Amino acid sequence: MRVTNQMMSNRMMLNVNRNMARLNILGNQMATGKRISFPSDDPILAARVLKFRTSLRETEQWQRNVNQGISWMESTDAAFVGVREGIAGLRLEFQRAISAENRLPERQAIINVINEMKAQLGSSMNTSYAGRYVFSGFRTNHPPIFETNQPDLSFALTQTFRFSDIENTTVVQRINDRVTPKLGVNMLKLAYAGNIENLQITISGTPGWNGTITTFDDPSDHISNEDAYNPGPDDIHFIRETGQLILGSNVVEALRNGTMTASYVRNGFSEGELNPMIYFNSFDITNSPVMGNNVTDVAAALYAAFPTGHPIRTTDQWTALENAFGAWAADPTDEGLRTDFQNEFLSFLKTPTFTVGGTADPDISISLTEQRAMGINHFNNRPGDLTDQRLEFEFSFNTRIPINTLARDVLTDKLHADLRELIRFINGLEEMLSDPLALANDIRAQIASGALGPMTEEQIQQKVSDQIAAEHSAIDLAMQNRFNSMLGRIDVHNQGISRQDADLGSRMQRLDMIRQRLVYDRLNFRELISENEDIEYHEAAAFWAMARVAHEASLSTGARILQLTLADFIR
Amino acid sequence: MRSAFFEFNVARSAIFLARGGLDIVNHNIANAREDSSFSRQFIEQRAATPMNLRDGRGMIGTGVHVFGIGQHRNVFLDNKFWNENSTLGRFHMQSQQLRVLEMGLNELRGADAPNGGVSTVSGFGQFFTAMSTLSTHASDNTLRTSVIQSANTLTSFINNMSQTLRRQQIDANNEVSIIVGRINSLGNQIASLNEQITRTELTGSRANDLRDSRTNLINQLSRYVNVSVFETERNADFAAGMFPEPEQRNLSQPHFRVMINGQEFVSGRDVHLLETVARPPGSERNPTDVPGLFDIQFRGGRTFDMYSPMLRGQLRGILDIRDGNNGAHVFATRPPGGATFPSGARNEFNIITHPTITDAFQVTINSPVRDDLNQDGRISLFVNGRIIEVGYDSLVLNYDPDNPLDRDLWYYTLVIHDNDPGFPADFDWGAFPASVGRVEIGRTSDFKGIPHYKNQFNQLVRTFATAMNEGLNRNGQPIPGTVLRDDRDASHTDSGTVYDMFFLGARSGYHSDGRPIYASVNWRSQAFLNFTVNQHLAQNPGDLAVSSNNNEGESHNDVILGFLQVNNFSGLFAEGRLNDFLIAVSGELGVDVRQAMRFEENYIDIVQSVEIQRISVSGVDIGEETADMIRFQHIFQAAGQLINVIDQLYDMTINRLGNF
Repeated sequence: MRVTNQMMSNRMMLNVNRNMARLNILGNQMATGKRISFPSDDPILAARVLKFRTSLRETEQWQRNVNQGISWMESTDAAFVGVREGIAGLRLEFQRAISAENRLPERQAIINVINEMKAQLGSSMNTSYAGRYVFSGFRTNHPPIFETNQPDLSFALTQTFRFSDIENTTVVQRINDRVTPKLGVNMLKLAYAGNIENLQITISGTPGWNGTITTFDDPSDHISNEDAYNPGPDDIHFIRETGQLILGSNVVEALRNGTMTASYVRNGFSEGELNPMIYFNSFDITNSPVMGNNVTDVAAALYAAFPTGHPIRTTDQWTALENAFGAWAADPTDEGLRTDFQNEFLSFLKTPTFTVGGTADPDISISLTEQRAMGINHFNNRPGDLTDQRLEFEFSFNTRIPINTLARDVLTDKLHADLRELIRFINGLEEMLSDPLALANDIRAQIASGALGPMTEEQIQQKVSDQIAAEHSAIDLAMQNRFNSMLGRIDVHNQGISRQDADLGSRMQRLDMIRQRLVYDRLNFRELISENEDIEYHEAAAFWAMARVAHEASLSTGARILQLTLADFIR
Repeated sequence: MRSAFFEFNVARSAIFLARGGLDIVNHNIANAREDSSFSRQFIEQRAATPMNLRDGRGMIGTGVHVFGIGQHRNVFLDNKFWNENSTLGRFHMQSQQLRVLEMGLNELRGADAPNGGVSTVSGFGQFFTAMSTLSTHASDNTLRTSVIQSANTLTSFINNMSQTLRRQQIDANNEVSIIVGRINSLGNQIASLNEQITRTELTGSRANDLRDSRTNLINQLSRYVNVSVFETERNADFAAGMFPEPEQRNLSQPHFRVMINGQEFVSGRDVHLLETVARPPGSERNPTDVPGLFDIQFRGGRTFDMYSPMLRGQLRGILDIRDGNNGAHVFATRPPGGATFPSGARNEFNIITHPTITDAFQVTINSPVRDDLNQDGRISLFVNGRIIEVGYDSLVLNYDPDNPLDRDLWYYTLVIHDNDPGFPADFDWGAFPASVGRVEIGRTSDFKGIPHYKNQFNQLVRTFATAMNEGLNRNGQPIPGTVLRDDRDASHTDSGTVYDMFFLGARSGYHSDGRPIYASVNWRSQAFLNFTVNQHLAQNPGDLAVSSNNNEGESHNDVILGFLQVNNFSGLFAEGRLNDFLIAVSGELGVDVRQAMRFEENYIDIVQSVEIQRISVSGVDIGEETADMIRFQHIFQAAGQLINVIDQLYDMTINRLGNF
């Protein structure tokens, strides 16, 4: 084949060009430290690097979430320290209080300590992390325990009781100026005392219950009305002042195989009381026109909410509500009819399932517009609502762990009511006791009237002191009974708290393991990215040097070949 | 008896030869550095007709006869060069344009890349990172704002990318017109050279340099489009590239024809120029196309088969980039024995006489591959091997109202009218519509060009927006773990509405359920361009629906956890997770760029080696020319010396012989 200068120069230029391109690629790699700058440099490597980068970013986000979660749980754990101390302290105080040497004054002192501890438990429940109450479930902007008095709030709420919640206990009354202990009282305690209205009770299960509720309204009923603690076998006595429910024997039996639901309206809350929004199925009916006294306003609000009746609730419920309203509207001054209507309305609200064609549908609830028209601010009535408030974060691919513990599982409404009732009971005892002076005067009066035989002043004093001693021993017995049963109950409560504590601990441990794993993951991804994407400088430098040598060689040989022609050798 | 001064004539012919030879050497050397279209020339010489000595002692030479100037050329190599050069032109254009595309869509240039910047992968990553942070504090308006902000960054990045693709399509379209202009200019020059060459060669000489110029023009033309060249010649030797006897030369009547893409372009002095015609609205090949893209045709209306699979050169490369949709066009064939629609079988069609419109037919196309066609446009009917293109209108995408996103139940209905000018005058109406075997809307192109990437990103934003807004996957099924739109609680917004987080087009308002009313019926085709965050949410971050039941409390975050599931859902795309889709698109482009570059490299080598063969034949070598120069110099010197000697002989014979 004929070879010409032009062929050589063409070929050389192409080669030089390619050497330069290679130098360019290597130089670029050296300058950026990266093997590739465009996917086309190595599409497979690029895809891998992009995947690792995404994984790294996700891992870093999960690390942030884990840190958030752990901080949250650490705040919870710190609160648990207070709760554990409080419970242990309560137990100690109960044991001290049982001791026979301790009399009313000492026990009153103990009660003061217990009161403090109750407050401490409450403030533990109000622990917050970054401005959010950690024990409040999803309602992190509401404290589980009221921190201030809320005299204007009104809630309709529903509590449930089981057989184990019944305290078979002793009460002390003062009947006919006599301290009268009553043993074997079957008592349930509502979460609140006083200001309770529209109480409705049902018991599910067999045989169920179909008795009557008698309300004891007089504030002194629990002190002096003997009937208050003597319900008939089918009766429930509700003592409004103390929030006690005294159960008849058949009611207790009914509860053995069933669950009691007590719904009521509480008006006004004070500091240290449970926040019904956190604790119970509840509606905020503060200023709800439907709960008011004015028939016209009620009608307006109700029909604003349900202008054409209710599409789904044109059932017995809606009819019953309309009938009840009709009855009250016919006689607007009748308190009883009003209460009937209100009860009907509340059961209309709280019944979680409205039936469509006979089938219960949990999703059909009261709509926002309807709520607003009825003046209901907070509406909380989905089945399972009270167990669902698990705040979950994403800590890893498809791994979600609840990070919160709920106040109602730690400081339960039952524990709270137990303590409240205990404190009220002990603090109320002093006024049960007779005044020695009054007692002496009374005896003197009786002597003077001839009801009693003549006595010396010593005898009178002796009688007074005997009387007082008898009263004290009755009270001591009642107190001892109370503290004894509380000791048993605090252990039950403690079990629940320990369960929560252990649950929190195991979740923290799990999260800590995830945290450690994420640290390694992050490191691994960084290494993988670096391994795949980064150049090895010594290797790249070697390649670069080789490319440079080739480039120089091609230039120098090319230059020499091109320089020579035959003309150079002609004389 | 030979003539007097016969020897002078022999020497003179040698001197003329030497002069002529030196001229050619001079010319060759002068053009030695020119590009390869110059063919080295040589002097055509032979010994002059000898003279018979009458006394029977033999023949005596009469010197040298120069009869022409030839050139070293090999027509076969020229053809081979043009062929390979066209292919090179195609891959060169592809790799150049794809690299531009890759620069626009470079995923490696993410915010997490060392050199900063934004990419789709990092944009989505940041969005979901912000979302994950929000899940730890669902009520925090600052965190909501940061979610909306990152969504804003994401959507504007995608809008930007859409604009980039749009601009690149416009640029590619301009490039088409520039290439057509270049082709036309080359055609004009070739035609004019043809005329000069014909005129020059009528006299019998060969227009070497003009022919080289013409070859050069064809070299250039072959870069833009594939050419085939025919030189018809009455003289068979000429046609074969050989150089016949001078007596026959005046018989030469060359006729030079250039075909581009198999169609006649230059014929002798005539040239059939191309022209670009902007497509009328409705006849876009791809619904996402920029309006008014150019079609190419010959001036006067003769069609140029611009989508022929045989087309090569830069024109093919740029058309691939501009129009390549990876086969995503609507086509259907008639099901065996006809069918009742919708039946669920893919890509089947039926035509019936329209039930309500007179003189019209209703076409049903079942489960089409695209859902974004214009309401009117053009449809191709394949009738007995003939393609008839007619207009359609009233295109409707029908779907099952109970299952609106189940693509297997979608079908198009459209109307064609029998007075459409697209039907030829001799159309056989008797057999119609049974004679139609296949219909197509738009045309396919297997290449993954700009329309393909537009489709991919449209698919991306539609799927993503549907997943975020509705909680549904691309087939209308709920995404596991995601809260459906209907289950989201709007009770914290004043209007009681669940707002869509993302919009896919310009809105004219809202439906009562909060779903946007889109201004344009054809919004789907523009999803990529008009992908935005709901600005209402940007201004009122508190209106973001984060919970399925707001009564649960401010930290209830199940909707947000559901949003995170969108990112985790492995069935969101055929490619897998959202991220897998993005990486797949980026990888697909990377592989294509790499392939185009590799092809380009290969063809540079191939073209180079053909060129070297050509240079081997036609190229000038200085050494060789120097040798020739010296040879001719020696001839000149020797012949001059001979004249001297002969002069002395005559001087002796004429002037001195009598003077002894």
